[in-house]
Parts: sequence; structure tokens; C-alpha cells
Amino acid sequence: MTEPLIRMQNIRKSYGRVQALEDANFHVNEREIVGLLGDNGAGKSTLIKVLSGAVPLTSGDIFIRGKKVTLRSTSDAIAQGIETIYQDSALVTQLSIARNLFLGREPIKPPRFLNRMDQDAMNEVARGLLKQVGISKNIPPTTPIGSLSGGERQAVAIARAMHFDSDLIILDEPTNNLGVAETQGVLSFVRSARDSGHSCIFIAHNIHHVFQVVDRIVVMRRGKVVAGDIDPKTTSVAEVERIITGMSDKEIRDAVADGKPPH
Amino acid sequence: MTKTETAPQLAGSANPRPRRALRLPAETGAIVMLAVLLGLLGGLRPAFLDPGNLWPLLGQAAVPGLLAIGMVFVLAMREIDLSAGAVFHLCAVFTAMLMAAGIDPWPAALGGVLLGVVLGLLNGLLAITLRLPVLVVTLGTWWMIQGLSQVADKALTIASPTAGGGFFAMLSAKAFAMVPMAVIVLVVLAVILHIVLHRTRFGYRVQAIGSNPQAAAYAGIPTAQVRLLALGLMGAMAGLAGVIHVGAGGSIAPGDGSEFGLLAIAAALLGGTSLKGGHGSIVGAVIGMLVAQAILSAIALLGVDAAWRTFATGALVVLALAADRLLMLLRKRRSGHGQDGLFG
Repeated sequence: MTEPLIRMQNIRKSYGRVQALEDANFHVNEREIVGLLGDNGAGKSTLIKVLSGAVPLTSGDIFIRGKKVTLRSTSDAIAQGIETIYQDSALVTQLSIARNLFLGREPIKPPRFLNRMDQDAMNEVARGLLKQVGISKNIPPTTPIGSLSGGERQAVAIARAMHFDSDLIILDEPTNNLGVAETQGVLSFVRSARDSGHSCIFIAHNIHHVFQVVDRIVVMRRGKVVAGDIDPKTTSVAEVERIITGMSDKEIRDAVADGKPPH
Repeated sequence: MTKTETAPQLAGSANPRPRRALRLPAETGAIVMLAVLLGLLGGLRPAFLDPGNLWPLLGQAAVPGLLAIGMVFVLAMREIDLSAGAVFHLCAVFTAMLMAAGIDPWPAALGGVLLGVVLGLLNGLLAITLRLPVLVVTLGTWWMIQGLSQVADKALTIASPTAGGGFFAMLSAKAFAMVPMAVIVLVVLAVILHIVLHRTRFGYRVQAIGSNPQAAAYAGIPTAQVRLLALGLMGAMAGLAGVIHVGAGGSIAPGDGSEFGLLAIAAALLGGTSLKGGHGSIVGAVIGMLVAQAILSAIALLGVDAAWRTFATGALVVLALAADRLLMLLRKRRSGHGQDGLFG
């Protein structure tokens, strides 16, 4: 059996007396989009923060392609090929598109000790990426991100992860506050990320958006993964909603095993 | 695994795109204020515009101007350093004391600048380890550093016995018989720091942290390291200002530079650097300091009691804050998000 891209094993995270994650087990395969669902406080955000290096885990192990890794910071996670796109914190609105694309990984002109950024190289790459994501019309790469629409910003953030060849792209609520057309644009962008070899974790409150794009659904409740292998093609939205809101383990197994078509 | 760079065309935006209006440079307000002030003061007292009066005015603006250009980095990071004026004073006292103890002026000057760096880094370390805004940390360190100055100088003017040496001759000299050396130092450092802020990775990261600290951290920027460096730079500028003050005047008196910290904040804000962070203007800070000095000079020129200087300094800070807030509201309104009022 091939090792998954990411495997999180018996992950525990506590904040004082509060147990945010309790022996959570989670994995993402190569070229797979996983929908991570759960009610508020279920532990999704904490699990993602642990995986993106934003918070340290209390105990447990993380493996990348079978190799155990330690993620002490977001830089560690990025170096391991894990890119997280947070809903409101993916981009710096006052900086240009080009500068955002290279945020944290700015190219430096020689001589390196002068620390000068290679603005021309950044603009050149940005121009190409803008064309690919379909927002190149009369928008120079020096335009501040703040003047782009929500969908365009998400596209830029995803393009950044793809440009830097991240193995795993974590998308936290990428379709929030977007119109119908923009949501469809972002969803097809996520699919294309998978088609070009990237894996994704897709977190969204809108369960219908998740069903449109993911290969597998994982549901969390009270810090645990309560259903890790839900097939969106054979499970209905209503059943997943029941799992999220709380069913017994037997009820969950029955619902998933029944394989009822989605409504 | 092969990864290609293909992506679909993004569907059209459903959100109305904000109007792209002509945006004036951030320094515009300060330039207009300076022009109006010079016009008014020149009209009231034509002698004000004499080169013999303007060059000393520039000289007076140069030393606090060094603090202002350092403060731009701190403000661009969405922080405020209240201790800069106290750091200036302690560094000047330390330098003068080293010289008085018989140490050669150049190593003593280096010691003064290094003390500034250490104090700046200390502010940064406290802010990072205590996870507090720099404003709160420096509220305490400001008084600690000021207290140290008082302990060191015992409320007396400290003069260097080596006054008249090469160090002092250089710093008190005037280029072309008019331009004070402090002005030249300010101009050179303003050009360098302008490039650092807008062309280097460090400056770009300072602005990224100020604009969206979380996004900067999530993108892998070592935010603690950048904050530490920016505050170290602020300390270095305050230390250098202290050294130049001693070098140009040969002494440091207890009250010298007491308002420099606040003036630096006011000048940077007047010059277009926002309290909201994410952007800074070195050129604007220099112009802002000229505005501040023109107002303070006007007090003397118009025969107003010198006691009003402190009031004027405070009023300048309030004016700068009001201007910053007003500009923020105007920008919000222009971009279609201006629902809140001045009190909102």
C-alpha cells in the first residue's frame, strides 16, 4: 500500500484544560481534494493550524510520504510543501499583486548582502500567473491586491501556492462572501490544482460547495475525526449534515455504508 | 509527479470593483502644509524666509528628523515607539560621559550609537517575549531610560572636554558655509532608508507585517526577527541623533530633546505614514519634521512665550493623528467602505 502524502496520527492539542484535538487521525492522498467538515468548535481549524505549523501539537505524529516530520513554524510547513490559504489572512491588501505572490519568498538581486528585491523578476512571473488565472485584463502586477475582487484574490493566493510547487494546498473557507460566478471560478481553480498534481484540503461552511469539488469528505466533531472516508458520490448532503451535527458511530457507519446517492 | 502551471480562467467578478481614482502621493498633505506655513510666516515676517534663518531652521529639524525617519519603519509595522526621545537623550549623555572620561570622540560616538541599538533591541525583545504592542512596552521603557539619564547626568549639563577636536569640528562644520553637517547626514540617511524601505526585502517585510501581520506570519515571514531589526534601527537612529547633538553642540543639557520622540511620531504621520501601518514615507517624514520645526520657530518668531512650545508639540501630535484619521476615512469612502464616522 502506498503511503499517503500527509498522515496525521493520534494528534492531540490542548489549550490548558481545553482539549481541542483528541487522538485525531487524518490523511490526504496524492492528487486528492479532501473536504474537511465540522461544526464550529469541532477542531477543524486547530487541525489545520497544527498541519500548517501555526500552532505546536501537544502529542502525536505527522508523516509526509511516510517520513516523520516536525512542523515548528509556518516556514517549516512551507518548506515541507504545505501552503495554507486563510480566508482573510492569505494576502496583504496594501501590497501589489507581484509582491503578494512572492510574500515570504522574495527573490533577491545580486549582490545578496544588499538585500535588494528583484522587482523585475517578480513582475514578470506575476504577469504570467495573472494571465493563467484570467485576471490579466489591463491589470498590471503592481496593482494593490486590495483593488481585486474576492474571487480574484483567492485565485492569486492559489496561483501562488501552485507557482511554488506546494504539494498540499489548504484552503480555509475559500468561497466565503463570493458571488455565484466567482465561487464557480474558484472551485474550478481548485480542481485544476489537483489535475496539475497538487493535493488540497478544502474547508467550507457551505456543504454544497464542498460536494462540488472534493474526492473525499472527512468530518470532525469534538476534536475527533468521526468519519474519515465519506464518498461524496454515494453519500447525500443530508447524511453528511447529520454526521456533522452528531450521530452515533453506528448511525454514521450505516449512513456511509448505505451509499445512498446525493440529493 | 509532474506539475503543470495550467489553470482555468476565473469567472467574472460578482463584486463591484472599486473605482480606481487618481491617488495623490502620501507626502502631498505635508508639502501643502509646509508651503502654506512658509507663505504665511514669510508674509507676516519677511525675514523668516532669509537663507540665514532657513538654514538654521533646517539644522534644528535635522536631529529630530533622524528619529522621524527611524520612526517611519516602526509606524509602517503598525507599532509606535514612545521611548525614542529618551533613547536619544541617554545616548547623548552616554557619549558625552565617555568623552569626558577621556575616551577618543570617535569610539565614544560609536558607543553612543551602539547603546541606541541595544535599547531598541531591548524594546523589541520585551515586546516579542511579553507579546505586547511596542506602544505599551515603550510606555515603561521610556520612563526607565529617562530615569537612567537623570541618574547619569544628575540634572547637570554634560560637556565634553575634548570640544574643538576633529570630531566636533566635522559635526559643527557647515558645507558651503551654510548647510549644517546634521542636514547632510539626514539627507544621506533619508535616501538610504528610502531605498531600504521600498527596495529591499527587509523594508518590504516591514510593510507586509504592518499591513496584515497574520498574513505575513502565515507566509513564513519571520515576524519577530523583522520587528526586532526595525526597533534596532529606530534605536540606532535615536543613538546617532544623540551623538550628532553632542558633536554639533559639544554638550547635552537635561531638557535637550525632551519633545523629540513625540515630534518624530507627529512628523512621520504628517508625512503620510499611517497609524494603520503597511506603508511609510521617509521623504514625507522629513517634510513633516520641517512643518513641525516651522511651527515651533513661528512661536519664537511671532514673540509668543517659549512656554507654549510644549503645548504646540502636543497640538502637533493631535493634528497629525486627526489628519491620519481623516485621510483614512476619505480613502474608505472613496473605495466604497466608508460607513463609519469619526467616532465609529
